[in-house]
Amino acid sequence: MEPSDEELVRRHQEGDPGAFEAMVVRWNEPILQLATRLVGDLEEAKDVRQMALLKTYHGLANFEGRARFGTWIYRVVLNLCRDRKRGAEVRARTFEATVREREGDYVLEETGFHVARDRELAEIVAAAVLALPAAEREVVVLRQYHELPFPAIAEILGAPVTTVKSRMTRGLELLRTRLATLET
Amino acid sequence: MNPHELSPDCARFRAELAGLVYDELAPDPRAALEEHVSGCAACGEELATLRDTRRMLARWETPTTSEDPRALARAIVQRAAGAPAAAPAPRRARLVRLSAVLSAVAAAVLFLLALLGTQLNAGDGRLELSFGLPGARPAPGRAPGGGLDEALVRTIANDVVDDAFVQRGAAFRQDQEELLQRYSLMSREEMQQELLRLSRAVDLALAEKERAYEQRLEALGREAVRADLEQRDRIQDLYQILPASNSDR
Repeated sequence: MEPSDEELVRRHQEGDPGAFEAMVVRWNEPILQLATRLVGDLEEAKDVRQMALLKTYHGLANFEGRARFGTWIYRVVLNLCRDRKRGAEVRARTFEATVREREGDYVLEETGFHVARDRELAEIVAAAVLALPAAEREVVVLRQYHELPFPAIAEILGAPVTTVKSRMTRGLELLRTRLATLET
Repeated sequence: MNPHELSPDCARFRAELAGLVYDELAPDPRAALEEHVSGCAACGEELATLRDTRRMLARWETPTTSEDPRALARAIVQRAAGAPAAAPAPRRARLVRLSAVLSAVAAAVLFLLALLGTQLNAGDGRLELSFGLPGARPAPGRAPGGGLDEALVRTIANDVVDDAFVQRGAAFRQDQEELLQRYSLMSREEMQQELLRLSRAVDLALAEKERAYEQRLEALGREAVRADLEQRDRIQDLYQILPASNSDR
Protein backbone atom coordinates (compact mmCIF):
# COMPACT_ATOMS: atom_id res chain seq x y z
CA MET A 1 0.00 0.00 0.00
CA GLU A 2 1.29 3.41 -0.96
CA PRO A 3 2.13 5.66 1.99
CA SER A 4 -0.07 8.74 2.37
CA ASP A 5 1.28 12.21 1.75
CA GLU A 6 1.22 12.91 5.45
CA GLU A 7 3.21 9.73 6.10
CA LEU A 8 5.84 10.85 3.54
CA VAL A 9 6.01 14.25 5.21
CA ARG A 10 6.60 12.60 8.58
CA ARG A 11 9.33 10.38 7.11
CA HIS A 12 11.00 13.40 5.53
CA GLN A 13 10.91 15.25 8.84
CA GLU A 14 12.54 12.22 10.45
CA GLY A 15 15.36 12.34 7.92
CA ASP A 16 14.29 9.72 5.34
CA PRO A 17 16.12 10.88 2.16
CA GLY A 18 13.75 8.94 -0.12
CA ALA A 19 10.57 10.55 1.20
CA PHE A 20 10.89 13.80 -0.76
CA GLU A 21 11.72 11.86 -3.94
CA ALA A 22 8.55 9.81 -3.48
CA MET A 23 6.55 13.03 -3.08
CA VAL A 24 7.98 14.46 -6.29
CA VAL A 25 7.19 11.22 -8.16
CA ARG A 26 3.60 11.49 -6.92
CA TRP A 27 3.06 15.24 -7.39
CA ASN A 28 5.23 16.05 -10.41
CA GLU A 29 2.52 15.51 -13.01
CA PRO A 30 -0.43 17.06 -11.10
CA ILE A 31 1.64 20.19 -10.40
CA LEU A 32 2.76 20.48 -14.02
CA GLN A 33 -0.75 19.90 -15.35
CA LEU A 34 -2.27 22.47 -13.03
CA ALA A 35 0.39 25.08 -13.81
CA THR A 36 0.17 24.45 -17.55
CA ARG A 37 -3.59 24.84 -17.58
CA LEU A 38 -3.44 28.01 -15.51
CA VAL A 39 -0.53 29.84 -17.16
CA GLY A 40 -0.93 28.37 -20.65
CA ASP A 41 2.72 27.75 -21.40
CA LEU A 42 4.63 24.54 -20.76
CA GLU A 43 8.01 26.16 -20.13
CA GLU A 44 6.55 28.67 -17.69
CA ALA A 45 4.64 25.83 -16.05
CA LYS A 46 7.91 23.94 -15.56
CA ASP A 47 9.33 27.02 -13.90
CA VAL A 48 6.29 27.18 -11.60
CA ARG A 49 6.71 23.48 -10.83
CA GLN A 50 10.35 23.95 -9.87
CA MET A 51 9.50 26.89 -7.62
CA ALA A 52 6.62 24.95 -6.07
CA LEU A 53 8.81 21.93 -5.32
CA LEU A 54 11.55 24.13 -3.91
CA LYS A 55 8.99 25.89 -1.70
CA THR A 56 7.67 22.51 -0.66
CA TYR A 57 11.13 21.25 0.21
CA HIS A 58 11.85 24.32 2.34
CA GLY A 59 8.41 24.20 3.95
CA LEU A 60 8.31 20.51 4.83
CA ALA A 61 10.37 20.94 7.99
CA ASN A 62 7.68 23.22 9.40
CA PHE A 63 4.64 21.46 7.93
CA GLU A 64 2.32 20.82 10.86
CA GLY A 65 -0.51 19.09 9.08
CA ARG A 66 -3.17 21.66 9.88
CA ALA A 67 -4.30 21.26 6.26
CA ARG A 68 -3.94 18.17 4.09
CA PHE A 69 -0.67 18.07 2.20
CA GLY A 70 -2.54 18.05 -1.13
CA THR A 71 -4.47 21.18 -0.16
CA TRP A 72 -1.24 22.86 0.82
CA ILE A 73 0.65 22.06 -2.36
CA TYR A 74 -2.28 23.08 -4.59
CA ARG A 75 -2.31 26.42 -2.77
CA VAL A 76 1.41 26.84 -3.40
CA VAL A 77 0.96 26.23 -7.13
CA LEU A 78 -2.09 28.51 -7.38
CA ASN A 79 -0.24 31.35 -5.67
CA LEU A 80 2.75 30.98 -7.96
CA CYS A 81 0.46 30.95 -11.01
CA ARG A 82 -1.41 34.03 -9.76
CA ASP A 83 1.89 35.91 -9.70
CA ARG A 84 2.08 35.22 -13.42
CA LYS A 85 -1.55 35.92 -14.23
CA ARG A 86 -0.80 38.97 -16.35
CA GLY A 87 1.21 36.83 -18.75
CA ALA A 88 -1.50 34.21 -18.80
CA GLU A 89 -4.13 36.78 -19.70
CA VAL A 90 -2.00 38.11 -22.51
CA ARG A 91 -1.42 34.58 -23.79
CA ALA A 92 -5.09 33.76 -23.51
CA ARG A 93 -5.92 36.65 -25.81
CA THR A 94 -3.21 35.53 -28.22
CA PHE A 95 -4.55 31.99 -28.13
CA GLU A 96 -8.04 33.12 -28.86
CA ALA A 97 -6.96 35.28 -31.77
CA THR A 98 -4.90 32.37 -33.08
CA VAL A 99 -7.75 29.96 -32.85
CA ARG A 100 -10.08 32.41 -34.52
CA GLU A 101 -7.70 32.77 -37.40
CA ARG A 102 -6.97 29.03 -37.58
CA GLU A 103 -3.31 29.70 -38.17
CA GLY A 104 -1.36 26.48 -38.10
CA ASP A 105 -0.11 24.71 -35.00
CA TYR A 106 0.68 27.73 -32.85
CA VAL A 107 -1.23 26.61 -29.77
CA LEU A 108 0.16 23.11 -29.90
CA GLU A 109 3.73 24.27 -30.37
CA GLU A 110 3.52 26.95 -27.71
CA THR A 111 2.01 24.83 -24.99
CA GLY A 112 3.39 21.40 -25.73
CA PHE A 113 0.04 19.78 -25.13
CA HIS A 114 -0.19 16.36 -26.67
CA VAL A 115 -3.53 16.26 -28.36
CA ALA A 116 -4.01 13.00 -30.18
CA ARG A 117 -7.28 13.62 -31.98
CA ASP A 118 -9.54 16.40 -33.08
CA ARG A 119 -6.71 18.82 -32.51
CA GLU A 120 -8.47 21.92 -33.62
CA LEU A 121 -11.29 21.48 -31.14
CA ALA A 122 -8.79 20.82 -28.37
CA GLU A 123 -7.05 24.07 -29.25
CA ILE A 124 -10.34 25.93 -29.11
CA VAL A 125 -11.15 24.47 -25.70
CA ALA A 126 -7.67 25.31 -24.38
CA ALA A 127 -8.01 28.89 -25.61
CA ALA A 128 -11.44 29.21 -24.04
CA VAL A 129 -10.32 27.92 -20.63
CA LEU A 130 -7.21 30.11 -20.62
CA ALA A 131 -9.33 33.14 -21.45
CA LEU A 132 -11.58 32.65 -18.40
CA PRO A 133 -11.24 35.11 -15.52
CA ALA A 134 -8.74 33.77 -12.97
CA ALA A 135 -11.31 32.91 -10.28
CA GLU A 136 -13.46 30.87 -12.66
CA ARG A 137 -10.44 29.34 -14.41
CA GLU A 138 -9.02 28.01 -11.16
CA VAL A 139 -12.29 26.31 -10.17
CA VAL A 140 -12.93 24.90 -13.64
CA VAL A 141 -9.41 23.49 -13.91
CA LEU A 142 -9.42 21.98 -10.41
CA ARG A 143 -12.87 20.41 -10.87
CA GLN A 144 -12.74 19.38 -14.51
CA TYR A 145 -9.12 18.31 -14.92
CA HIS A 146 -8.04 17.41 -11.38
CA GLU A 147 -11.41 15.94 -10.45
CA LEU A 148 -11.39 17.55 -7.03
CA PRO A 149 -14.82 17.74 -5.39
CA PHE A 150 -16.24 21.19 -4.63
CA PRO A 151 -15.59 21.00 -0.84
CA ALA A 152 -11.89 20.21 -1.49
CA ILE A 153 -11.64 23.14 -3.91
CA ALA A 154 -13.30 25.35 -1.32
CA GLU A 155 -10.66 24.33 1.22
CA ILE A 156 -7.84 25.06 -1.22
CA LEU A 157 -9.23 28.46 -2.13
CA GLY A 158 -10.37 29.33 1.40
CA ALA A 159 -13.84 30.12 0.04
CA PRO A 160 -17.34 28.81 0.85
CA VAL A 161 -18.55 25.81 -1.16
CA THR A 162 -21.46 27.86 -2.49
CA THR A 163 -18.99 30.40 -3.90
CA VAL A 164 -17.01 27.65 -5.56
CA LYS A 165 -20.15 26.18 -7.14
CA SER A 166 -21.31 29.54 -8.41
CA ARG A 167 -17.85 30.16 -9.93
CA MET A 168 -18.08 26.75 -11.61
CA THR A 169 -21.51 27.51 -13.05
CA ARG A 170 -20.35 30.94 -14.16
CA GLY A 171 -17.23 29.40 -15.71
CA LEU A 172 -19.27 26.81 -17.62
CA GLU A 173 -21.65 29.50 -18.85
CA LEU A 174 -18.76 31.64 -20.06
CA LEU A 175 -17.19 28.63 -21.75
CA ARG A 176 -20.45 27.73 -23.43
CA THR A 177 -20.74 31.25 -24.84
CA ARG A 178 -17.10 31.41 -25.84
CA LEU A 179 -17.03 27.98 -27.43
CA ALA A 180 -20.23 28.71 -29.33
CA THR A 181 -18.64 31.92 -30.65
CA LEU A 182 -15.42 30.21 -31.61
CA GLU A 183 -17.18 27.40 -33.42
CA THR A 184 -19.03 29.72 -35.78
CA MET B 1 -33.34 33.03 -20.47
CA ASN B 2 -32.41 36.24 -18.74
CA PRO B 3 -31.44 35.40 -15.14
CA HIS B 4 -33.59 38.30 -13.99
CA GLU B 5 -36.62 36.53 -15.39
CA LEU B 6 -36.02 33.32 -13.44
CA SER B 7 -38.63 32.23 -10.98
CA PRO B 8 -37.42 31.91 -7.37
CA ASP B 9 -37.50 28.11 -7.80
CA CYS B 10 -35.41 28.24 -10.97
CA ALA B 11 -32.87 30.61 -9.37
CA ARG B 12 -32.52 28.27 -6.37
CA PHE B 13 -32.02 25.19 -8.54
CA ARG B 14 -29.68 26.92 -10.99
CA ALA B 15 -27.24 27.50 -8.12
CA GLU B 16 -27.04 23.71 -7.74
CA LEU B 17 -26.72 22.84 -11.43
CA ALA B 18 -22.92 22.57 -11.27
CA GLY B 19 -23.36 19.95 -8.53
CA LEU B 20 -25.68 17.97 -10.80
CA VAL B 21 -23.40 18.29 -13.82
CA TYR B 22 -20.51 16.89 -11.79
CA ASP B 23 -22.57 14.33 -9.84
CA GLU B 24 -21.84 15.85 -6.47
CA LEU B 25 -25.33 16.21 -5.05
CA ALA B 26 -26.61 14.18 -2.14
CA PRO B 27 -29.59 11.92 -3.04
CA ASP B 28 -32.34 14.20 -1.70
CA PRO B 29 -31.25 17.48 -3.31
CA ARG B 30 -30.49 15.57 -6.48
CA ALA B 31 -33.97 14.10 -6.65
CA ALA B 32 -35.54 17.52 -6.02
CA LEU B 33 -33.45 19.15 -8.72
CA GLU B 34 -34.12 16.39 -11.26
CA GLU B 35 -37.83 16.69 -10.58
CA HIS B 36 -37.67 20.45 -11.17
CA VAL B 37 -35.64 20.08 -14.34
CA SER B 38 -38.01 17.50 -15.78
CA GLY B 39 -40.85 20.02 -15.52
CA CYS B 40 -38.95 23.21 -16.46
CA ALA B 41 -37.88 23.54 -20.09
CA ALA B 42 -35.53 26.46 -19.43
CA CYS B 43 -33.65 24.73 -16.63
CA GLY B 44 -33.61 21.50 -18.62
CA GLU B 45 -32.02 23.31 -21.54
CA GLU B 46 -29.50 25.00 -19.24
CA LEU B 47 -28.54 21.65 -17.72
CA ALA B 48 -28.12 20.06 -21.16
CA THR B 49 -25.85 22.83 -22.41
CA LEU B 50 -23.72 22.77 -19.25
CA ARG B 51 -23.30 19.00 -19.65
CA ASP B 52 -22.34 19.51 -23.29
CA THR B 53 -19.79 22.09 -22.18
CA ARG B 54 -18.36 19.64 -19.65
CA ARG B 55 -18.02 17.00 -22.38
CA MET B 56 -16.32 19.52 -24.64
CA LEU B 57 -13.82 20.42 -21.91
CA ALA B 58 -12.64 16.81 -21.92
CA ARG B 59 -11.21 17.44 -25.40
CA TRP B 60 -8.33 19.33 -23.85
CA GLU B 61 -6.25 16.35 -22.95
CA THR B 62 -3.68 16.02 -20.21
CA PRO B 63 -0.26 17.46 -20.95
CA THR B 64 2.48 14.93 -20.33
CA THR B 65 6.24 15.03 -20.13
CA SER B 66 8.91 12.37 -20.39
CA GLU B 67 11.03 13.82 -17.60
CA ASP B 68 12.33 11.64 -14.80
CA PRO B 69 10.74 12.92 -11.57
CA ARG B 70 13.51 11.33 -9.46
CA ALA B 71 16.12 13.37 -11.28
CA LEU B 72 13.95 16.42 -10.74
CA ALA B 73 13.73 15.65 -7.00
CA ARG B 74 17.51 15.31 -6.78
CA ALA B 75 17.97 18.63 -8.60
CA ILE B 76 15.57 20.35 -6.20
CA VAL B 77 17.37 18.94 -3.15
CA GLN B 78 20.72 19.92 -4.64
CA ARG B 79 19.52 23.43 -5.36
CA ALA B 80 18.03 23.80 -1.88
CA ALA B 81 21.21 22.53 -0.25
CA GLY B 82 23.61 24.41 -2.50
CA ALA B 83 22.02 27.82 -2.25
CA PRO B 84 20.51 28.23 1.21
CA ALA B 85 21.09 31.98 1.20
CA ALA B 86 19.36 32.37 -2.14
CA ALA B 87 16.13 30.94 -0.81
CA PRO B 88 15.98 31.39 2.95
CA ALA B 89 12.23 31.81 2.74
CA PRO B 90 9.74 31.26 -0.08
CA ARG B 91 8.50 34.86 0.01
CA ARG B 92 12.04 36.17 -0.31
CA ALA B 93 12.63 33.95 -3.33
CA ARG B 94 9.59 35.34 -5.05
CA LEU B 95 10.59 38.91 -4.31
CA VAL B 96 14.07 38.41 -5.67
CA ARG B 97 12.62 37.09 -8.91
CA LEU B 98 10.25 40.02 -9.08
CA SER B 99 13.05 42.50 -8.48
CA ALA B 100 15.06 40.94 -11.29
CA VAL B 101 12.24 41.76 -13.69
CA LEU B 102 11.60 45.25 -12.40
CA SER B 103 15.26 46.17 -12.10
CA ALA B 104 15.39 46.46 -15.87
CA VAL B 105 12.79 49.21 -15.64
CA ALA B 106 14.66 50.89 -12.80
CA ALA B 107 17.91 50.68 -14.75
CA ALA B 108 16.25 52.40 -17.69
CA VAL B 109 14.97 55.15 -15.41
CA LEU B 110 18.38 55.58 -13.81
CA PHE B 111 20.04 55.71 -17.21
CA LEU B 112 17.67 58.45 -18.23
CA LEU B 113 18.44 60.33 -15.01
CA ALA B 114 22.15 59.96 -15.72
CA LEU B 115 21.70 61.34 -19.22
CA LEU B 116 19.89 64.29 -17.75
CA GLY B 117 22.85 64.94 -15.50
CA THR B 118 20.81 64.19 -12.40
CA GLN B 119 22.52 62.72 -9.36
CA LEU B 120 20.41 60.20 -7.50
CA ASN B 121 21.34 59.18 -3.97
CA ALA B 122 19.40 56.14 -2.77
CA GLY B 123 21.25 55.60 0.49
CA ASP B 124 19.61 55.35 3.90
CA GLY B 125 16.31 54.39 2.33
CA ARG B 126 15.80 57.91 0.98
CA LEU B 127 15.72 59.13 -2.56
CA GLU B 128 17.58 62.39 -3.03
CA LEU B 129 18.05 64.23 -6.28
CA SER B 130 20.51 66.90 -7.34
CA PHE B 131 20.76 68.42 -10.76
CA GLY B 132 23.89 69.00 -12.78
CA LEU B 133 22.70 72.06 -14.65
CA PRO B 134 24.48 73.67 -17.58
CA GLY B 135 24.27 77.07 -15.88
CA ALA B 136 27.07 75.97 -13.57
CA ARG B 137 29.52 75.76 -16.44
CA PRO B 138 31.78 78.62 -17.61
CA ALA B 139 30.00 81.10 -19.83
CA PRO B 140 30.50 80.49 -23.55
CA GLY B 141 32.81 82.91 -25.30
CA ARG B 142 32.27 85.31 -28.08
CA ALA B 143 33.77 85.45 -31.52
CA PRO B 144 36.41 88.13 -32.03
CA GLY B 145 33.88 90.13 -33.99
CA GLY B 146 31.61 90.31 -30.95
CA GLY B 147 29.05 87.55 -31.92
CA LEU B 148 28.71 84.08 -30.42
CA ASP B 149 31.43 81.56 -31.15
CA GLU B 150 29.42 78.61 -32.48
CA ALA B 151 32.35 76.22 -32.26
CA LEU B 152 32.84 77.04 -28.60
CA VAL B 153 29.15 76.60 -27.84
CA ARG B 154 29.21 73.24 -29.61
CA THR B 155 32.27 72.19 -27.61
CA ILE B 156 30.56 73.06 -24.34
CA ALA B 157 27.43 71.18 -25.42
CA ASN B 158 29.59 68.15 -26.15
CA ASP B 159 31.16 68.50 -22.71
CA VAL B 160 27.73 68.31 -21.14
CA VAL B 161 26.99 65.11 -23.01
CA ASP B 162 30.41 63.69 -22.15
CA ASP B 163 29.75 64.41 -18.50
CA ALA B 164 26.54 62.45 -18.67
CA PHE B 165 28.14 59.43 -20.25
CA VAL B 166 31.56 59.35 -18.66
CA GLN B 167 31.77 61.26 -15.41
CA ARG B 168 28.39 60.15 -14.17
CA GLY B 169 28.82 56.58 -15.38
CA ALA B 170 30.44 55.36 -12.17
CA ALA B 171 27.84 57.06 -9.98
CA PHE B 172 25.10 55.56 -12.12
CA ARG B 173 26.49 52.04 -11.71
CA GLN B 174 26.85 52.53 -7.98
CA ASP B 175 23.29 53.85 -7.71
CA GLN B 176 22.04 50.87 -9.67
CA GLU B 177 23.84 48.38 -7.43
CA GLU B 178 22.49 50.04 -4.31
CA LEU B 179 18.99 50.03 -5.69
CA LEU B 180 19.18 46.40 -6.75
CA GLN B 181 20.30 45.54 -3.23
CA ARG B 182 17.32 47.41 -1.81
CA TYR B 183 14.91 45.91 -4.34
CA SER B 184 15.77 42.39 -3.28
CA LEU B 185 14.21 43.20 0.10
CA MET B 186 11.12 44.98 -1.17
CA SER B 187 7.60 43.69 -1.48
CA ARG B 188 5.68 44.11 -4.73
CA GLU B 189 3.80 47.11 -3.32
CA GLU B 190 6.98 48.78 -2.09
CA MET B 191 8.58 48.25 -5.47
CA GLN B 192 5.61 49.76 -7.27
CA GLN B 193 5.91 52.80 -4.99
CA GLU B 194 9.62 53.00 -5.72
CA LEU B 195 9.07 52.93 -9.48
CA LEU B 196 6.42 55.61 -9.09
CA ARG B 197 8.93 57.76 -7.20
CA LEU B 198 11.56 57.18 -9.88
CA SER B 199 9.06 58.08 -12.55
CA ARG B 200 8.27 61.32 -10.72
CA ALA B 201 11.99 61.98 -10.36
CA VAL B 202 12.38 61.74 -14.13
CA ASP B 203 9.49 64.16 -14.64
CA LEU B 204 11.06 66.55 -12.13
CA ALA B 205 14.50 66.27 -13.74
CA LEU B 206 13.08 66.88 -17.22
CA ALA B 207 11.17 69.97 -16.07
CA GLU B 208 14.21 71.31 -14.19
CA LYS B 209 16.47 70.69 -17.16
CA GLU B 210 14.10 72.40 -19.54
CA ARG B 211 13.86 75.44 -17.27
CA ALA B 212 17.66 75.60 -16.92
CA TYR B 213 18.20 75.43 -20.67
CA GLU B 214 15.65 78.19 -21.24
CA GLN B 215 17.41 80.39 -18.70
CA ARG B 216 20.76 79.65 -20.31
CA LEU B 217 19.40 80.41 -23.78
CA GLU B 218 18.01 83.68 -22.52
CA ALA B 219 21.37 84.60 -20.99
CA LEU B 220 23.18 83.71 -24.21
CA GLY B 221 20.73 85.86 -26.18
CA ARG B 222 21.26 88.83 -23.87
CA GLU B 223 25.02 88.37 -24.15
CA ALA B 224 24.83 88.26 -27.94
CA VAL B 225 22.74 91.43 -28.06
CA ARG B 226 25.15 93.21 -25.69
CA ALA B 227 28.10 92.09 -27.84
CA ASP B 228 26.39 93.38 -30.97
CA LEU B 229 25.70 96.70 -29.31
CA GLU B 230 29.32 97.02 -28.19
CA GLN B 231 30.48 96.22 -31.72
CA ARG B 232 28.14 98.86 -33.16
CA ASP B 233 29.44 101.41 -30.65
CA ARG B 234 33.02 100.64 -31.70
CA ILE B 235 32.13 101.04 -35.39
CA GLN B 236 30.39 104.32 -34.67
CA ASP B 237 33.47 105.47 -32.75
CA LEU B 238 35.56 104.62 -35.84
CA TYR B 239 33.21 106.65 -38.05
CA GLN B 240 33.68 109.54 -35.66
CA ILE B 241 37.43 109.27 -36.14
CA LEU B 242 37.65 108.52 -39.89
CA PRO B 243 36.16 111.75 -41.36
CA ALA B 244 38.54 113.77 -39.26
CA SER B 245 41.48 111.74 -40.55
CA ASN B 246 40.33 112.16 -44.16
CA SER B 247 39.89 115.87 -43.75
CA ASP B 248 43.43 116.06 -42.39
CA ARG B 249 44.77 114.66 -45.73
